[in-house]
Amino acid sequence: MKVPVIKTLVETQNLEALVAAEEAILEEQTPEITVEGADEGEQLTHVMAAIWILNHMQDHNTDFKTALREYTKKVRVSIS
Amino acid sequence: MAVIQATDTDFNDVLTGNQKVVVKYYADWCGSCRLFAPKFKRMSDDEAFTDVAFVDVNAENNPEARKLAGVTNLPFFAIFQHGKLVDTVAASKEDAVRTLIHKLEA
Repeated sequence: MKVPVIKTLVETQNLEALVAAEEAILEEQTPEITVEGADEGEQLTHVMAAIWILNHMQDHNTDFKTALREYTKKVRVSIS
Repeated sequence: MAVIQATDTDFNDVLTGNQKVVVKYYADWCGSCRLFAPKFKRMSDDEAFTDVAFVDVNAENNPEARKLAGVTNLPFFAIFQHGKLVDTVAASKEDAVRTLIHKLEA
């Protein structure tokens, strides 16, 4: 998982485009937007992270950094 | 066979109640985990693994079950026999998981 990729998606895409990309990857299709990643799994992780962060920013009225911190907490706790 | 969803509350019961167990540790944020879900379900229906219990554990919400296998990455797979940890692998490839399951003794 690469934070710069997630940041770019958050800054350049809207929720609709990200959800469409998520569905495309799940259906083994090529998403319309460019999503970097070593494989489909990492691409999907990046898209789902961007969706989670955008939703968190909207729901909690926070900036990207704050939402990213909350997201990385979730990730860290899963593998520590 | 259906994939069993286990939590910290019933994880030990699942391990001791089944002779051979393969656990897939996942998280909702993990894309590779989500892509692997249908493969894991398909493997649970495979006749080669009729004596193996397939178990899903959400690693984010179940620290005790996670620590029991020493989860370092996701998706992460662990095999247990007679309630004891035998081996683990962090992988997204079906072949790696099949190889792991075959390590369970007859």
